[in-house]
Amino acid sequence: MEILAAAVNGLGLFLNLELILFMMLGICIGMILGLIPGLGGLIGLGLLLPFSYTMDATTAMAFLLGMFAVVTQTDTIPAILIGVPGTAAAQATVLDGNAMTKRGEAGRALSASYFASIWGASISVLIFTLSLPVLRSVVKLFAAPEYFLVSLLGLLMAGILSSASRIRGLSAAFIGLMITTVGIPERSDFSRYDFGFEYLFDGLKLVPVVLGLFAIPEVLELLIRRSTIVRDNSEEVAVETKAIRKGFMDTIKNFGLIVRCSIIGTTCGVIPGMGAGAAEWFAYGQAKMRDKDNTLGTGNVQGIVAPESSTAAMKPGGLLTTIALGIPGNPAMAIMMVAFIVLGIRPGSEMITDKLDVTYMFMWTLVIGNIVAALVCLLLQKQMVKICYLNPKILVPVVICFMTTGALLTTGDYGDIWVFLGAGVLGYFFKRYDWSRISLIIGMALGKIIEIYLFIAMDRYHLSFLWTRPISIIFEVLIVLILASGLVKLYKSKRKSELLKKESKGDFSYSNKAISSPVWWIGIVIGIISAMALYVAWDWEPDRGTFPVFVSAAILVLVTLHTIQGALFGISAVPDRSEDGIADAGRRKLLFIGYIALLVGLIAIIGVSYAMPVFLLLVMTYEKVSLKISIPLAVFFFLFIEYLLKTVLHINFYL
Amino acid sequence: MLKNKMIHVILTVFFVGLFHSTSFADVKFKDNVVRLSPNFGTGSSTEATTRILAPFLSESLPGNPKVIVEPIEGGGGTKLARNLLKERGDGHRAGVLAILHITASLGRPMPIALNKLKNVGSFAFPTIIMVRKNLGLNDLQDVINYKKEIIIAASKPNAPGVSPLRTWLIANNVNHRIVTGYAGQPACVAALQAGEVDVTPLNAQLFMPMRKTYEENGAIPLVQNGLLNPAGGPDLKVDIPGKSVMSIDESWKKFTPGTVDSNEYTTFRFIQKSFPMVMHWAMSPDTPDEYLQVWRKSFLALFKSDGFKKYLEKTNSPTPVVISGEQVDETVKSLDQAKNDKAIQSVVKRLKKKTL
Repeated sequence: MEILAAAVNGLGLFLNLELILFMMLGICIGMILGLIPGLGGLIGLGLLLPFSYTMDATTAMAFLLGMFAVVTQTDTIPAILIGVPGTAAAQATVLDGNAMTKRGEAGRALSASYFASIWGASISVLIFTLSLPVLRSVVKLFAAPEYFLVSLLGLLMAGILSSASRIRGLSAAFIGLMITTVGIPERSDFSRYDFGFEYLFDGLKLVPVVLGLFAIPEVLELLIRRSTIVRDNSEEVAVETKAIRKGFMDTIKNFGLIVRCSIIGTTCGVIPGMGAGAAEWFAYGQAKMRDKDNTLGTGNVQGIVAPESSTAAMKPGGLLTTIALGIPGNPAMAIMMVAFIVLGIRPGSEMITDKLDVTYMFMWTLVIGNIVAALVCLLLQKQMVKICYLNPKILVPVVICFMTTGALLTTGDYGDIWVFLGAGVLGYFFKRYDWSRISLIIGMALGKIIEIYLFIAMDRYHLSFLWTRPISIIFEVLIVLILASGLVKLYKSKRKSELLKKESKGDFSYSNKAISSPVWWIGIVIGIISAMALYVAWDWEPDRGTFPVFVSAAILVLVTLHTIQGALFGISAVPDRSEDGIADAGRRKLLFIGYIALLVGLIAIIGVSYAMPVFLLLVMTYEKVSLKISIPLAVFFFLFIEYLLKTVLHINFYL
Repeated sequence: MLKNKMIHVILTVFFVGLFHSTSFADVKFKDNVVRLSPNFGTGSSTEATTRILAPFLSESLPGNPKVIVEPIEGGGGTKLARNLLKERGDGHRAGVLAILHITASLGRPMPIALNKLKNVGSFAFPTIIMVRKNLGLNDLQDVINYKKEIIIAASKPNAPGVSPLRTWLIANNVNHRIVTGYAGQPACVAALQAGEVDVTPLNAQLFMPMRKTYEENGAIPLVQNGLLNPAGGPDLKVDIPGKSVMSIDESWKKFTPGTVDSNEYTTFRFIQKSFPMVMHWAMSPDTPDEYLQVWRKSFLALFKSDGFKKYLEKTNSPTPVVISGEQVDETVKSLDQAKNDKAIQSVVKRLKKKTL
């Protein structure tokens, strides 16, 4: 009853004109930051924090939380419409969101994502309310062994469930782990696999890798097919209110999934070090587990509602531990903690007892912020969806500029571009030859957490954590179940592939001669690279070398199994058919490489601000786009980089 | 005659000064923007502290330029130091090289010539060593009497926050083990609260405003890393209301005077002396002198500003130890010399190990 009264009082505190106005201002800023690939809530919080110093504490928090609440709502717009996941929190959404857009269901996809966010935030607040009496005791049950095991569970789930081939899925997940071994580890002073490049000291960042892995193959496909993003005009036009209603109904139909994913998101918010990327992919893995028709990734709305509800739920979850225990679970919450200190708000038991109404005011801001942003987005949806019907001659160069800028916003260094392009090449081959990109990214999102907490657990408990901690044992049982289900599915899929081979139906392809299958050869190349990585890491001291040795050995074992399996039984895969039937696909691929080389060259010669507009003008002129279109776009990009990014947001490009 | 000569000299000095020297207010910043780059990213306590100070620095610099906090993270500070070493150096950026000099002096290989940088100044808050409440440890005497192994959380075995305590533990053969890999002090405190470890260091600036919160969750102060007073006199430590928390130095002398002449104590004093270098602000070697002087003055002024004092009061934070650019130059020299000190290096070698 007291909790209910505090919730109502919190709403009362919220109903203050000045506070609402500042929250709306925060929401506007957050929506813009979410729309721009590469920016996000962290930059926004850093930007707005100094302005909050002079405000009254509750108004300042409404301002900051208003901004923070909505970034992950608008970041789905470029992800769904053009396949560019701008922030870590939109990486999983891009898969099904963009596929739905191609089917002409952008409106439904966007609407489902907005409502899923609202549900996610609301459910998380409910979880917060229910967990208040037991919060401290529950949080204390979790430590390094549990964080390690829950991350391992996520990795195995992704590896086993996300690909037609369990072995390829697991290999990709371990490749993701391997990527995270680049740079200086937490426990050592010596860098790993940096090849003398100081950019690599800090490892490979998630955003350029995700942009390259997912967005580059999409843009290449657009250029090859020379069609608008929406391919099937027979589907309902997305701008109708029917689409909005459909998206809403999708969230109602999948409410059970939303609840599960909201719990996942809230938990990820509480666990230190778990980012929005991990929350997204965990939720996606959860949806994938129940995807009996294997349609996730091909435009299934569950692939949107799951990650979106999870990331929205992460914020109240993160705020919960920051407020109650003074422990910020992620970088955004660390900034919030600075805000608390500066504004004179002391986290602790007071905030969940005497000042519970203030805490509820924060929670209301997160929920209401999501609702307001959803309404604004729905109002603007008609205009935004028009992007999907743009001529590819205009869209392709614009998206290339956006992707490259997004990648560059990571550190502003040339390294961002090389990582982005390298990931693009990998993404192309992985997509075309059925190696799971999802598993790879989940491996990357969880890699650091797995390494850190595995070694902390071993340092602290040695192996005894495996049998002395009750929560750990629960996770171990789940891991065993997942592995067992993987083995069962492996057996079933073998039978299925034999059946499909006989019937020659659908997209399923089977190659009797592994030697003629690029899928098989990619495995061998990965095996050679991992053997080299193993050789290099072998002599490193334990704090530096143990993890890469273990991971590269695991990849080597898995790809050896894949190679032997392929040689003995043939290779089964679900290939990408997007280039089929296009006569000059090869020439268009070369053209795409030419465009990228041109942009990189221009950036090197004249800098980012001028390179983007010049690139747009040159490419659009070559593509015979009217100057009436290309000049305003070039001017827009110049202003976008020079004024918005450099002058307003003070972002530096070290190029 | 003499009077005329003096007037002539005074007038000459005045006019030469007027036309040839750059006064504090004459220094202009392009677009009225300067950048402050911490070596750890968003979410780290270094970045958070830098953000807190940014508005006060703005008030102290001529023209009140906007101070942009732009982290350049990577390699525990190596990337930022390299950037500073190779950048043009127009006086518009200072780097915050948190603990880089100290970790270098504690045996971390540093592939960069840190002593080439222009030093603006440095400051540090003492560190509070926190302990799990239910262990019943109230001071270092209790630690000596404690029968079990003490488990310490830190990011690395030779982390500067925990090294002073470890020199004492090593000198007195106290059974301990360090669990490493935690990403920053808040993560260490979370491990303490979850009962995973027994002891962890925490910056007093974070501890003081959050003290009650941590105590409610089972983490209490055990001892603190006092700082050598640059002005001489007694060591500087945090005054924790209602509780007397001794510094390690005081405890060392009180409880274990027999080990005061050991190599471990020499190393402890060396770390203590270098500790004000925790938040070290430095600039490119090419920085024009007038800009360096302006930064140095403004750096010292910001800690004396009313705004900063009010902030300390409001957040119940301790006053930091601040050393000038010139004092940093001296400290850097002494740190470089200590790298050749065999007594210190023998202990540094042991600090890199995880157990006694």
